[in-house]
Amino acid sequence: MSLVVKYEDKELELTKSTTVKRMLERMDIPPETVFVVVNGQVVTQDERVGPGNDVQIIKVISGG
Amino acid sequence: MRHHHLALCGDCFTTWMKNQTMRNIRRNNMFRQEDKVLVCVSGGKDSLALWFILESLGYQIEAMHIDLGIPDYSARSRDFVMQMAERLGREPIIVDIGLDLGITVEDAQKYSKRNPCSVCGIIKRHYMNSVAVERGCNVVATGHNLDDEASTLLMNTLSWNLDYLAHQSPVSPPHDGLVKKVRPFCFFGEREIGIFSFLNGIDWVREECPHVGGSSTMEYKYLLTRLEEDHPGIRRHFYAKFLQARHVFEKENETTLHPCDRCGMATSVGTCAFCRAVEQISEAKEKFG
Repeated sequence: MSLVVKYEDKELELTKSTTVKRMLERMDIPPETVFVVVNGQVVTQDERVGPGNDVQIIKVISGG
Repeated sequence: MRHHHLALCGDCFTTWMKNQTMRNIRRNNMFRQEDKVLVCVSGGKDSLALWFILESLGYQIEAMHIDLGIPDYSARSRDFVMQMAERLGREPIIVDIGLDLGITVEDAQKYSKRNPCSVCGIIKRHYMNSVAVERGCNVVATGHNLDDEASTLLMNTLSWNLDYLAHQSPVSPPHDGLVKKVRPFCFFGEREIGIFSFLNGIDWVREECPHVGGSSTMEYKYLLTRLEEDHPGIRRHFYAKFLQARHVFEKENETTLHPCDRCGMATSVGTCAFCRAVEQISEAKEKFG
């Protein structure tokens, strides 16, 4: 069982749990440009995510 | 929020955002309960959240949305504005420039050599002022956030654009027919506003304007967010310290403005930039369209 996290044209497959911080690092996403929602809740970078979770990465930076 | 050394639950974060907005409005003397404020709402998270918060704080608000006629993007943006209007039980002022002017921002790119982002800015500034005057609003509020302010400041500093530096402020005072403009969210990062919107069920247009591609604003924003990761609070510090020192860029004599010979809005020349742009794009559209 694994979790596939998608953000724009990026994709990461997680087979075991990791922190949000590490997940964003692996996807090369600057943490200040997004926030992460796990199972409907906004989470901090210390939160662990992995298979079985519903993960959304929401972009906040815009051209303005 | 590492830069504030603060960790809050959802409810406390919502209260904190509202309190900080009110504090910024009061501290910078932006407006009072008796003022009538025109909030410009694009359909993005910042302006929608601003409208939502200002209504919840009990200010006298009129909301305005400008439909710029950008295929698909403008229609989707307008939908989010109407969703919020329904939620708040308000009727926003909709300016559809295709109907009002016979041209759109798309036409600027299609038929003239003008940069669509520059035309968009000219059109927005014109309607912000003219609609405020028409509706008796003495203040115009926009959703500019800390990332907008810090990236603009960085751009203007790197090019030492002294005129722009002199005018960058949370409050632009009224001046010869120009209505006062304020930026109540200027100390909130985009991330804070995004989280506030999510927690309060505010949905916004997620896609970028199709004309934004390659804009230098985005480059500077990304640069600053990278710095922020290693130095929490650096954007806020950069902007706040600039505001303390901004007076050194101010000139003693502001340019005198007078009514445009066509539309009557304030300008420093005979015919304002808006009227000239509309005329040029309309002519180009007629010729090549």
